[in-house]
Amino acid sequence: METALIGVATPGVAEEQIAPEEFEAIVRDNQRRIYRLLLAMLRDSDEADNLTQECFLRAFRKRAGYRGEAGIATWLTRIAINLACDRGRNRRLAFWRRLLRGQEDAVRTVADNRRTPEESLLVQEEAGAVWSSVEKLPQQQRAVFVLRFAEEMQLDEIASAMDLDVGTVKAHLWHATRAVRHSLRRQS
Amino acid sequence: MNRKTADDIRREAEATESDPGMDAEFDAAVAEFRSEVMAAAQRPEGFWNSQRAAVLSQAAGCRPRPAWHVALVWAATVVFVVIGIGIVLDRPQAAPAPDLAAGYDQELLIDVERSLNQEVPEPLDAAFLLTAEMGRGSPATNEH
Repeated sequence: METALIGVATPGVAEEQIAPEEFEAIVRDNQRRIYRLLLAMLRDSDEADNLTQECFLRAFRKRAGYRGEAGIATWLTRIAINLACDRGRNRRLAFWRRLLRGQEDAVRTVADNRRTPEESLLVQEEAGAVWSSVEKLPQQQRAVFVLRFAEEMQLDEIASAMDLDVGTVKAHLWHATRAVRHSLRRQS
Repeated sequence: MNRKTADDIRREAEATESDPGMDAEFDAAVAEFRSEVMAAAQRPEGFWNSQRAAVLSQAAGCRPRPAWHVALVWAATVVFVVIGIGIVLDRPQAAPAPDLAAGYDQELLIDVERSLNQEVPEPLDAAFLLTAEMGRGSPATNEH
């Protein structure tokens, strides 16, 4: 499964061993997942694309610092989260940019054929409420929430990717979940 | 300010989590959120190919510098250091500072010699002058 992080791609590969052709394989194996993670965190497809490229470039430049303790996928996830957090510091600027472009809804929604149109609309509204409340979460809570619920990662995997204790991850997840529940409750 | 205590937060969390309706709604919303993320991240193969090509071309631009480049930087550094040392060594030497102690000794010797040449010690100069003046004045007084 693509979402299982640890061991997705060549764990333990040392810096000198990342040859150009191997780097291409690493990009190919991880680009979809990194893009999806950034899209879930940023809710902006252009920004997710840019930061996905930046994530791999940063990994390439900093490959000397990769010691192979965690899998490459985990290392890339950490870089992507840091990039998203850095970018989040300029959220106000991004908001105005998005507003000028008129692309507030950069994310496409899909209709579920098993539901009635009313049910689909209701669920989509709830998912929209989740998106909105996730956007308002503090950086680390947002990252933990997305990794847990969008990427379906285990708590220890999240802790490894974010370089946190499992207890801290649990605390972030509890706060994030509570905020999303409150948001859903207000909506209903 | 009306702040929530830890007990308030725990009670609230328990109330939220123990609400089956809320749990179902939350699960459904999160599942939909996940499927929306999945759907939004679906892109045609061309998108991934061009993204990969962009990454690889930029990575090719930041390859390690060739050995001759490193050697050139080292050579330039060595030349600058040598020139700097040369400038420092080539500076004109400053004039030696006068030996103040020797000057003081010389002054003292001159002073002592002057004192020895005087008939009367310096502190008694005033008394000597007064006595001499009185001696000169005495015969004039006697003439009257």
